[in-house]
Amino acid sequence: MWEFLNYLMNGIVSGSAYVMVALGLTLIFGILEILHFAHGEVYMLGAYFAWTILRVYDVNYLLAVFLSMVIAAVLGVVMEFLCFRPLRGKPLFLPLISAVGLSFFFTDAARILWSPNPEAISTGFNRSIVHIGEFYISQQRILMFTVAVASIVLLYLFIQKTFMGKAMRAASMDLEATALMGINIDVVVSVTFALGSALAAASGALLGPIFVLVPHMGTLVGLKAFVCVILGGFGDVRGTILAGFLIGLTESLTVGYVDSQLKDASTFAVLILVLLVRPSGLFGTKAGKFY
Amino acid sequence: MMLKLDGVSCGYGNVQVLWDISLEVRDREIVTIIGPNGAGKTTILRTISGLMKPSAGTIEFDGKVISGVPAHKIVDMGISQIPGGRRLFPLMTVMENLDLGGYRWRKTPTFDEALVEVFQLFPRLEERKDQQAGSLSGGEQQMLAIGRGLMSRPKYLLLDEPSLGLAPLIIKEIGNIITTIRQRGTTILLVEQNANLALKLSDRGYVLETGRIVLHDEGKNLRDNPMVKKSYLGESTVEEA
Repeated sequence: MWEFLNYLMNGIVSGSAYVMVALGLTLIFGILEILHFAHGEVYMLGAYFAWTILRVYDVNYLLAVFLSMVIAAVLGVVMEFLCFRPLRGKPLFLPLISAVGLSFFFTDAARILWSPNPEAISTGFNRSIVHIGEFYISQQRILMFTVAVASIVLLYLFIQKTFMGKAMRAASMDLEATALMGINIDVVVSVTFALGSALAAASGALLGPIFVLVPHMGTLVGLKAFVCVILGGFGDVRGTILAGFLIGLTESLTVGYVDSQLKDASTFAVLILVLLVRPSGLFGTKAGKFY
Repeated sequence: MMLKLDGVSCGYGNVQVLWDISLEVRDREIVTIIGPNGAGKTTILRTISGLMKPSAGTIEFDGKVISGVPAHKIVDMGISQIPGGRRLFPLMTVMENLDLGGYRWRKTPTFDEALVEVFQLFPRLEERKDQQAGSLSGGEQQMLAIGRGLMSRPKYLLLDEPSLGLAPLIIKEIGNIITTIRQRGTTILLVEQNANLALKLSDRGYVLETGRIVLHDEGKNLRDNPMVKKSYLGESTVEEA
């Protein structure tokens, strides 16, 4: 019973981290139909940014997470401007290649800028464990989950209620018609990349203390975020959120009750199974994006 | 104020669609472009709206060259396009579609004024404002498309095939609405395959064939023109209700 609760909670926490990464991917795919393969690397960079800020300035950890998000948002805008915008309207394999190139670039840049060896972020939150009976959870995980839920809710309200959010949804349905509304598409795309990158970076900065930092830490997370996007129905925000938690739970229950070596395999097994049964994803409505 | 195309050529990639198009739309006119499918009527509107750049020639609006200006700035200058096939945001509500149409006036009193006017013109949109746009009937969708286009309070309105796919009674209603919009002071450039409707509404008309303007005259003269009669009005055309 306690054991199950622990696995359940671990699954929900890592699920929330996946959701944060996957939401950016979903938004970007929804609007530009780009498979942004460097998004996992933004997650990785988010962790390294936080690590560096903590190292150099010795500030409050939460402030470091926030600053890391800001840097990543700027990076996201610059990255889109340099690597995707010139390719807009071109065949979609071109931005795809651009994204793969970016992914290698970021991984190797991290290797040079920081080090190929694992680094650790230590925060007070990681050491203090809360327990109820046999149920244990570190404050860091509680923090990860809280920030994730808060940002999911805020993002959802943003795209539902604000004019910019509505413009993003409109752009995901019909980019050209959105331009005819007098909306600057370039701004909408920049905002999307800024938001998506900030969320991925936050996820990295928050999970960093739980795991270790290595330059290739983003690759697998990026792929799993893709699994969430596909399961969620390609560009469907609600579907992506549910898929993220589903993947998190699948992994942690696999670790607990099957074999911890199968952790990563379980994600992709779920993907294959779901696609066999429902090719448009668990929650895909084909026409539907952002809903 | 005037919208003026001077020797505009335009195309997609290597395929040239428009050849040396010159036309003008003066204040408070209804001007129509008729022509068969594929003649380039939509491309003219797309070029004016900044979705495409002309390969030659210039487009002037209010004395300023607007060719090459990005689409969203064209809307800010006061030219709004209601695209063919309506192009609504189907999974958003009627109100959200109108919100987007009025994007340039967001959070200003002008937005509310525009909304009042649109609801005055289309009371049914107000009744359905929380309904998903994709669930409206064809006629209602066209009304929403027009309403959405009016939310930016354009000086000039470009209308691409508003009658397409609609029942004769609704086409007639759309015709009345176009006249009303002009009475309220908006200039209209209309593109239509339904030459009958278009020429009846218009002060002047242009006939476009394979990317070139082949005829230009007053609306009523075009209706009497034997070539237009034969090719576009058709002897057997049934007059709508």
